[in-house]
Amino acid sequence: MNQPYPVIRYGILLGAFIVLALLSVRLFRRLRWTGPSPVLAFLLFGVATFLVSEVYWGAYNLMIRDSAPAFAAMEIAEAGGFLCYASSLRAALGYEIGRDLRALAVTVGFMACNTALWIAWTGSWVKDVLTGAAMCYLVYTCLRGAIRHRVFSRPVWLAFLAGILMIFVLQTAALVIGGGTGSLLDNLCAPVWLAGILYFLVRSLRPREEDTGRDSAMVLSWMGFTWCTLAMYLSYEPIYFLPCALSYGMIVLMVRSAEQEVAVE
Amino acid sequence: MIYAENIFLCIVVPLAVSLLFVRGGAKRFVLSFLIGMGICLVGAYISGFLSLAVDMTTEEVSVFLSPIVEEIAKLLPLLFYLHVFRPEDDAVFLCAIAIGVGFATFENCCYILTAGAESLPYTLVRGLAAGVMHVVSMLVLAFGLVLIRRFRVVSLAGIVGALSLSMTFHALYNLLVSQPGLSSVIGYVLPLATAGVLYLPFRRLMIPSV
Repeated sequence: MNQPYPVIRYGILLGAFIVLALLSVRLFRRLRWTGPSPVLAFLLFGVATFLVSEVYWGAYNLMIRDSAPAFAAMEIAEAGGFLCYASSLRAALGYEIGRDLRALAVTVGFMACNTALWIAWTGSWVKDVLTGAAMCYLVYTCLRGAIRHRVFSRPVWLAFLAGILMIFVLQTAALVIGGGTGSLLDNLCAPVWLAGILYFLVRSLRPREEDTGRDSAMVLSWMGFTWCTLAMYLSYEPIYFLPCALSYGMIVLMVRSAEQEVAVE
Repeated sequence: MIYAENIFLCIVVPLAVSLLFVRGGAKRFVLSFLIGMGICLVGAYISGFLSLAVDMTTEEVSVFLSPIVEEIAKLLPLLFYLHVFRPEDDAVFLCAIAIGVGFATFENCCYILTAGAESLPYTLVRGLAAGVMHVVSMLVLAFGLVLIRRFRVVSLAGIVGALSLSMTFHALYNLLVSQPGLSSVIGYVLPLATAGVLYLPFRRLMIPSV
C-alpha cells in the first residue's frame, strides 16, 4: 500500500535520525568530559532510545508499511525514552520535587483523558496504556517543575486550561459525530496545539531575564517537547507532521538547556 | 518436532558437572552460559503461549513479541547479579556475554536439529547473524547497565532505557531478516557490524576513565 506524503514522511524520519544520532554522540562525549551527571546521562539514554526507535520505525515503514504494528519493541523504547527524559528533568530539579497530590490528580486526569482518546482512535490498549503511563510521569515532573519555578503567570495557566478543555471537547465530539463534521472538529484543534507549540518555542529560544541561569529554561523545553508529543498523538496527517518535526527541535532545545544547567552547576 | 527439553538436558548436564571443578571467571562464565540456555527455553515457552493468546502467527510473534520477551528474560539474571553481588564492570560484561552465548547456542542447536545441517550457508547465517546478534544485544544491555552505574543513575528509568536499546536492536534484526532480499542481507550483516562498532568503546570503557 502506498503511503501518502512520502517525501515529508521520510524527510522527517531521516532528519530525526541525523539529529538524534548527533545528539547521542555529543551527549556521550560531554559525559566523558564532565564525569557523572545524572541530568545528561538520563538525557543520553532518552535520546538513544528514541534513535533506535526511529531506526526501527523507518525499517518497518520501508518494509511492511501497510499498517502500524499492534505492539513492538519501539513502543517500549518510546516509553523508556519518556521515563529517561522525566528522570533527567527530575535530576536537574535536585530530586526535591516531592509529592503534590493536586498536581498528581491533575496529571492523572489529564493523561487518562488523553489515553482514552488514543484508545478510542487506535484501539491499541496495551500500547496506549503503556505510553500513557510513561507520559504521566513526564507530565507530572514538568508540572511540578513549572509550579516550583513559577514558569507561567496566572493568565497563561488559565489559557492552557481553556485550550486543553477545548481540545478534549472537540476531540470527543469528533469521535462521536465522525464523518466530515468529525474531521472538521478534529482539525479545529490544530490552532490550539500550534499556539502552544509556538509559545514554548518562543519562550525556549528567547528566554526572559528571569528564565536564564535557572531550571525554568529546562522546564520550558521539556514542556514544549511534551506538548509537541501530545499534539502529535492526537493529530492526523498532514497536521501530524508539524508537531512531529518540531518535537525533534524541542529535543535539541532540551539538550541545550540541560548542558547550560550542568555548566552552571 | 524436536524435544527441546531433552536437548537442553543433554547439553546442561556435563556443563553443570564441570561447575564443581572450575573457579573464578570460568565458573561465572559456565554458570551464565547455562542460565542463557535456560532463558532460551523459557523464552520459547512464553513466546509460544503469547502466539496462542494474542492470535498472532509465529512470524509476527518472532518479529514483534519475541524480542521483548527474550530481552526482558535476559535482563533479569543480569540485574540480580548486579544488585546482589555488586560485581566489577568486567564481570558484568563476562556474565552478559556468557548469557548471550548460551542463549544463541541453544537456539542454534534447536534450529539446526529442526532444519538440518546440510546447508553450509544456512549454518553460517545461523552462527554469524542470529548467534552473534544475541551476544551483541547482551553487550548493548551490559553497556547500558555499566554506564548507568558509572553515571550514578541506577533507577527504573535508566534500566528501562538500557533494556530498550537491546530490545529494539534485537527487534530490528528480526524485522530485517523476516523478509527476503536486501533487508535480510542488511539484517545478517547488522550484528557483526555492530559488534565491530562496539569493540572500540568497549575497550575504552574497560579502562576506568569515565
